[in-house]
Amino acid sequence: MRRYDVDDAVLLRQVAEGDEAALRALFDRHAAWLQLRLRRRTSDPELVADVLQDTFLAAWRGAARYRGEGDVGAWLWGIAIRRLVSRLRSHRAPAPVQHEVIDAELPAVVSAEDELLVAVEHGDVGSALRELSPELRTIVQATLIDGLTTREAARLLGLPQGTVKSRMRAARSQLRGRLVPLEGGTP
Amino acid sequence: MTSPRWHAGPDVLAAYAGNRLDDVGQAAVETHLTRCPTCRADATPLVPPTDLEPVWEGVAVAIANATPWPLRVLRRLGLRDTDLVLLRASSDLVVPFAVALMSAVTFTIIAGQVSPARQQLLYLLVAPLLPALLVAGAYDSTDPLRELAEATSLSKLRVALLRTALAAAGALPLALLMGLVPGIGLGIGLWLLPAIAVSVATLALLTWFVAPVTLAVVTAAWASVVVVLGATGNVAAASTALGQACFAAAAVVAALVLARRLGLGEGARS
Repeated sequence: MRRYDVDDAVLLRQVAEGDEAALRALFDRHAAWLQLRLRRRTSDPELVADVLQDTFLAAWRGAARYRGEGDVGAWLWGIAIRRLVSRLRSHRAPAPVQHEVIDAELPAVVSAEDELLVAVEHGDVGSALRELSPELRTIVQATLIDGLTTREAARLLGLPQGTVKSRMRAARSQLRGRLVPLEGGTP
Repeated sequence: MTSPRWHAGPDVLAAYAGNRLDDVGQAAVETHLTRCPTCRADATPLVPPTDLEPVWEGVAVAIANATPWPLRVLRRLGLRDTDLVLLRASSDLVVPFAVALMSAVTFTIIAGQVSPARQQLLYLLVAPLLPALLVAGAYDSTDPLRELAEATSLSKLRVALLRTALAAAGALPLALLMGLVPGIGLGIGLWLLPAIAVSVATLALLTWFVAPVTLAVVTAAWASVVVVLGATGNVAAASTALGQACFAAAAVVAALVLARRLGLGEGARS
């Protein structure tokens, strides 16, 4: 539809210049899948709507801080999942998004683990993940797939940080054990 | 970003949206969605527009309500966001604030030139009038809100008090600024009660007259009080307990008149 052929990064630059129509275009492209994904993280539809609203407000105020690294979708998800974590922590107090918060919530530079994420799509890691216990899979999902830090994952899952760390260690070593024999086959 | 080689397809996405995938399938779809514009577009019809449109409206309203500094001060003090939206609707506060700021600066310049005895008199004259100026200005600029107030569950008193709070947030720093003139010193505290009395009286009068008339009446009345005090050599009387009590009493009377005029009895609506 509107501006369909324009790149997300270009839209985000226009948002940084105060173009509300560009934000609307980004919303049309990203709000739906972000909503679906947030709904997998919490069962409260109102909370999902609040977080979604926070996310696009944060994008409006923080668009200038997008450094053009990585996909805009990943950037938005990084904001959304962190807004969700902070809403869960604060029992849904409608805190306005401040600049410092946005800075803190911008996803870190693409990690080396990104490679692994691509592999999830292709089955090798998928089958290895399938063999993990549900507890360990949840941890892998929060840290590797949602890109949360140990502390944020602990908040999202309602676990002590120590538990998250030890489970993450266990998951890593199990994954490594299962992936190493497969590695010869990956391009 | 390069597009991935495979796509989830509508069936898998529908299963994902319906929560029918196992953890691993879900993880695969999610990592894929993060980097695939095609599948994001495919996922869009899976969310009813009625879920998303209110979210967008919330975003649009919040963007339109970027907060100027006096409102940020009020929010720091605990004002609710819904009230901020109401105040933000009074868009023309810039002019009264600019006039008040100019007055404050002009005052500091003039006050620096006159004798210390006259400084206090001048301060007493100007400081309480600034909030009144802002109240009148705020009221004038929010005039269309009167219809809004009739139609909504907000009581008129609430709107009026919000306006006064906004004026106070703007006037407090200005009055402190004027107090910086050497020689006025402890006189700073003096203005507060007169200012409240004058501001509330302004609000009460605004229920009868238009803003410019009200402002003229209030200015004239307050100026004559100060002039009488000055002419009889009783400027110090304003700072005594009795003087301050008189101001407090005047404020209470004005508040009662205001409450009556606003029909406080029907305030149960809010």
